[in-house]
Amino acid sequence: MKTLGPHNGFLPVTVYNSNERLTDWLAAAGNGDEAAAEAIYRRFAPAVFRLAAGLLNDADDADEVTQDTFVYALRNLRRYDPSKSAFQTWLFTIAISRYRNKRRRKWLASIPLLWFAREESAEAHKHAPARPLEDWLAARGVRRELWAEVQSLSPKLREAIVLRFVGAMGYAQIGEAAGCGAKAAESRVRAAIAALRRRLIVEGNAGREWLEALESSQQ
Amino acid sequence: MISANHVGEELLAFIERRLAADEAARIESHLRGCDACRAELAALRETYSAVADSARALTHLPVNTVRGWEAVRRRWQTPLPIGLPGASRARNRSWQVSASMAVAAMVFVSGVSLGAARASAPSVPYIQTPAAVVIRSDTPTLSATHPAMASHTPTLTPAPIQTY
Repeated sequence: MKTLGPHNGFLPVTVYNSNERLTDWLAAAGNGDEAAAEAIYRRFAPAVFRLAAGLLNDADDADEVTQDTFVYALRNLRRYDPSKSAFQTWLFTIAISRYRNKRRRKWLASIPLLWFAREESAEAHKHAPARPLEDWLAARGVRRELWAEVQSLSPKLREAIVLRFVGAMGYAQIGEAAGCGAKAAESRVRAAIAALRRRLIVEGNAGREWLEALESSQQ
Repeated sequence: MISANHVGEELLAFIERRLAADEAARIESHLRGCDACRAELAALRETYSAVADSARALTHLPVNTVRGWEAVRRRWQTPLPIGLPGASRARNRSWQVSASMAVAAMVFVSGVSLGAARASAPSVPYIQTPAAVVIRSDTPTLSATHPAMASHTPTLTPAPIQTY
């Protein structure tokens, strides 16, 4: 920690560097120290943002969930108990809760459209332009089909697989963040992988041959 | 369908190297003699590494922490409307306030409707006994009619009237 100033009449500014202990940041931010809060944000925001992007498949929504997560966390730092979980796990737990709220709001907002245009929605979705996040991932070698299948998993399975692979969490931490036990978390990841495998089987050689045979038999 | 003798349930732990040495040895031994479980393992590994590659790409997603922090800082420093420490509690409280207001609005609207219905009641012809106080059994209000009006009103009573 380094205190600068006062410069040009401004109050002294405290700058926290990444080598300092997180507990110091948390204590200072809990007392309203803006520099400590910013240090926490800068260290953990990228992980929370990527987790949210993996869950929501939209950078703007992920940005909103990340902001909601940190605003809640900074206002409630006294509720964080280091003896119960790692700070990142606590943040991910908040992020999952905010993601669920976001998903619910989006679903509610989509009801009128689904109600009045449900006949056309499937066709419209088929021709919808690719979203920027999907483009970004595709440019880095991620198969669009795979990413689309991850997004079409049930919410519980998607949460589990994103926490495991994007959040790099262990099963106990996934269980904590998703509100289920470690065993259930592992079971969900296994089920998600199995579902993806079933859906993507046509991508493999054997699947492609089978698909070609099916198509030729229909001609 | 994997039978109890197969090891499909443990293959995820096996490829993530989370099994104890003796457990891993038991799985390897089973895999040597079981085509179905070997095929299951190969398929699991393929999907697992495809998902892991996607997740790895996502970890390079750029994040604008400067803009993000400005937004968070502004909201963090804005006092909650109810003045409670937790946003969620404030939200719960605001939900309760909204619900109370909604109930109050419904009561008000139904009261206004009732009043409007009553206001239109004089257009319905009914007779009042001169100089009498009349209580209509279907409404809780009292009304009195001037005796001079009695001659101008038809003798029709759409609702039961109790006269005292």
